[in-house]
Amino acid sequence: MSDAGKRRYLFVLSMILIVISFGLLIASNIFIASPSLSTMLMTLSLMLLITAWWLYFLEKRAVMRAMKEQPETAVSVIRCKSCDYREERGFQKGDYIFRVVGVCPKCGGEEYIAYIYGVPGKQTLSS
Amino acid sequence: MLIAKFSLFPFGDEGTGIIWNTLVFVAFLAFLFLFNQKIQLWTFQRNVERALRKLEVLANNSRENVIQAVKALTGSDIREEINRAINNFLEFFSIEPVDKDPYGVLRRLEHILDIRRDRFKDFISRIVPKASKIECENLEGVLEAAIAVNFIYKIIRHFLILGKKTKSLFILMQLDMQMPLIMRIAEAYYGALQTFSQGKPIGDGLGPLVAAKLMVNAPVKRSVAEDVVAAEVNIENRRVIVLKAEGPGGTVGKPGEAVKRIIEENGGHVSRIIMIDAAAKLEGEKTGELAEGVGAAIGDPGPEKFKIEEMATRYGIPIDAIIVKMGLDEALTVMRREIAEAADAVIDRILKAIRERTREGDTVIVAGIGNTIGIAQ
Repeated sequence: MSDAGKRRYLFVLSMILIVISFGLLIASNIFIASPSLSTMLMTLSLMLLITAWWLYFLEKRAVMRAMKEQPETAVSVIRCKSCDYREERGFQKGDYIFRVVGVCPKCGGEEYIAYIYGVPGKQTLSS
Repeated sequence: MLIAKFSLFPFGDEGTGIIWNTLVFVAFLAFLFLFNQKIQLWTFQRNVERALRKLEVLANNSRENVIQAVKALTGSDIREEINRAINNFLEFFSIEPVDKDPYGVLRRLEHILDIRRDRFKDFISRIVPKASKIECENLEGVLEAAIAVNFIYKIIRHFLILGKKTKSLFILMQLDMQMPLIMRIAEAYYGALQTFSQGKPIGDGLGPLVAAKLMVNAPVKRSVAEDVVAAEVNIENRRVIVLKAEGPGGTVGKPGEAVKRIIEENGGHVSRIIMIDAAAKLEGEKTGELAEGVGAAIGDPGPEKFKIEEMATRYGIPIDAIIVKMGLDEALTVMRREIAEAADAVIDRILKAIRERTREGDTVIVAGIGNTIGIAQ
């Protein structure tokens, strides 16, 4: 499950627990004639409410963690000036577009960096 | 019994129970009535505090990144005085010229911007004296981004403390509601900082990338203005002068000054100016989408744009603008694939514009506007 999906799941689950907890609180009133059942329902309701709050807290923490993760990988696309040779490799420090990087293994022509672009990593909050 | 069945708390269904339930209900209403604004204030404050904690992390990391970048260039541990100098420089500011009397405001603004740039260059040459021009320009970008993140953090902290001191719901509510947008800007600058420190091309480099592709095979490339290079190429029997900021260091140069000088060199006989730049997309638009229009496509504070408009108006030169759309974060962080690939589509549009809107023998200026980090020529 993606991070965004997990966050949505936690949020929905906490909302469902709050609704159930509220229902149990009402039920504890309906069964007022049986004090032990009523107390049990009320305790259960309280526990569900605490669980819901905890899940909500987890969801918020997941949001904060997602914010810290930035997409940072980059790819350098190498091409030959003489033929259609193309190669992709990870960005290396010192790479720049139109930098001559070597000799083409196919035709012996000059190889240069044609593009450098980022590869999206984990989704950030703003994306 | 009926009331007890619909009451919230199990106090019983007889006299005392009903009274207790009513009391609790009334107390709850009174609580909401008396403290609702306090609760709102507390909620807004908590949200802003949480965002501020994230901003603090970003600001501290930014400072650390600058120190790491300097360390990488000096190749050794940096001295305490340099550390202190970096911390002091993160507070650097520039004051905009007075505009109550707007006469000559752009000339004065350009002067301030020149001084600012000189101060940056001077500071960098002092802390990393052995670094190359490209490394210095990239470090300048790192510093700029760190200053921006630090500034955002301090402004938000200021308004949060002010809101808490004055217990102003108005201040805290505005802050909370604007936080998602502010966080996007802060994240974009933080991303830029990491990209600049590694010398990767950014989305804003689309203009220089297009210009570089047009001029890469030109035999002569000359400097026409501060940090701007130009080359002449023949496109369908038109004399096309292509210009861009001099890469691959992170600089934008002075493209306005360059366009002005080229027009003056040619005695005003330029039949068209075509400008290429990255532009902010609207939500819902696709990254890398092209749009065409007229006017000076340049997002500088004013002086460079003014020079282009002034010269174009003086000599009656039409200005075409081709923009590639992207978000702020995409413009400031490593170039996305769709933006890099849009460069070829932009070149097709330029060729079409030259073919359809100029005649053989005409002189055309093509200006690739933007930061040229990671893009040579």
